[in-house]
Amino acid sequence: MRKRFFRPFWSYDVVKTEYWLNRMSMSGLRLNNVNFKTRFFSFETAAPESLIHRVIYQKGFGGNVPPGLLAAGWGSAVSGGNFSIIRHDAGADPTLNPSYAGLLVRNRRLKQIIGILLAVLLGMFCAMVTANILIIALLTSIAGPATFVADDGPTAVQILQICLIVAAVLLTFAWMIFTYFRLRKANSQLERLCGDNLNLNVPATQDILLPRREEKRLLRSKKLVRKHRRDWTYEPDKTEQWLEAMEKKGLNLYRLSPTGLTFYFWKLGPRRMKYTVDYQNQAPDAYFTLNRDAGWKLIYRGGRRFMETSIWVHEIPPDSPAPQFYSDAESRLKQVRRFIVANFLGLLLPSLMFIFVLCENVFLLNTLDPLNILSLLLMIFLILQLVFSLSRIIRYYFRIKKN
Amino acid sequence: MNAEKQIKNYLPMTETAYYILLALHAPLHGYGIIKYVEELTLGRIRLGSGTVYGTLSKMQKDQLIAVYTDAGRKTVYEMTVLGRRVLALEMERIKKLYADTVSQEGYFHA
Repeated sequence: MRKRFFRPFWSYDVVKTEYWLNRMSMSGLRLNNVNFKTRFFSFETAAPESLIHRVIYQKGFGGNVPPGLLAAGWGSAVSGGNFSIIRHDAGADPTLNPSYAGLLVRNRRLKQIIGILLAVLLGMFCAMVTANILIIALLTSIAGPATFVADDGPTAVQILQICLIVAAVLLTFAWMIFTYFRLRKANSQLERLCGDNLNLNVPATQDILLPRREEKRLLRSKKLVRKHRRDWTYEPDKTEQWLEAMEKKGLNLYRLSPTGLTFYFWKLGPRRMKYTVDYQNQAPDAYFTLNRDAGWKLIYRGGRRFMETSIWVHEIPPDSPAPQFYSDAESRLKQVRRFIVANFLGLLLPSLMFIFVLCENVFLLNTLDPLNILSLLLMIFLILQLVFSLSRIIRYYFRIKKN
Repeated sequence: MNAEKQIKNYLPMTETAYYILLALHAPLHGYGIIKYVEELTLGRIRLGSGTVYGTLSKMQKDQLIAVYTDAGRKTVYEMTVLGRRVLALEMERIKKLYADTVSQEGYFHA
């Protein structure tokens, strides 16, 4: 006998779904098939058994359970597209377990996309509302409130159409907001489960962050030095060389300010250190563990959105070549290309949107009042800023390509 | 099909990808791969952790390797059936390359 259950939001809390499947198998329902598109879970009646289920997500999986997991005692329950569900007897204790990392990466990307869409839609909505209010206010002040009496009112059909469109828009909006917050909750849960025993909140060379008072005292006695640097994220190779030159002068990087614009250095003495400024788009914990195990120390991690910047430092052992973060020229160039694409998206698109909105404001009212002039100046400033940043990024690309 | 596409993408293989797959004849942690390759090549090849991470991510997307966690919740990598197949094809190619090198070497000695 078959039983089907509809679970449209099953992927928002995977652990809850797994526990649900465990309970189902204990009450005599064995998972048979899942249609991941329609979100229907099919069960067949069977003898009650104690099973542990796990959901795996791996892009391009094709549902082939890796041989290592099969050998460790897992059995395939359902596979389709990028998702798979595997299970084993509650009594058995497999040596290898599937990882939640694939699902976490997918959820983070999804949340990122939805977040951007929400921001864009909200921005457009606000711009439309303010523009409409301005137009109405302007026209009523000139022509009087009588301007808005229409010749004949809108027909019933038109009202219905507008209502349907508004309802559809509101529903989509609500679903996106719901998904965004559910994903945020799910991701923090998955991050805890992924583990890897990381502590990413205290990145400092000596692995200690001094209290503020101590830092102020050291700044006054010149044992701690502060330096500002703008746009260092757009030329990572120059930043690396600058930090290494600082080390040779006896200034050792201690930490960065939370805004990422100020560098703090100890004045301890020259060291031979290799710095790497790297970018990742929401890398899972495995990225940080791998680099840490290879001897790199994380000093700074910031700038979440499209690209997370991280500054790593490694000691150069005496009589040894400097360790390379990217030992392969091809992989380095690929990384640089990804950096450029993400920066273009992160810089160009929002700037273009700002400039577009400003253009609309400037050319809507054709008079030269102070508000217009201010908007024009702001637009010019933004365009210049954009051009400078983009030119730095492009020059960086050609510098790396030459090597 | 999908497998043919991967084979075309990965053959001939970069040295980095080749040595990573060689190391993964048994499941390993990420840093274990770097150490294995360094020992195997007697220090000639020291893979960078950034390079390894990028290559492993790409191979995972292309289904050449699979990812799990071990008892200590650390990430472990293993080759899939497709990965073994692609590696075997590359090893055949290298063997042929080596045989031709040896046979033609004589022409290039002074």
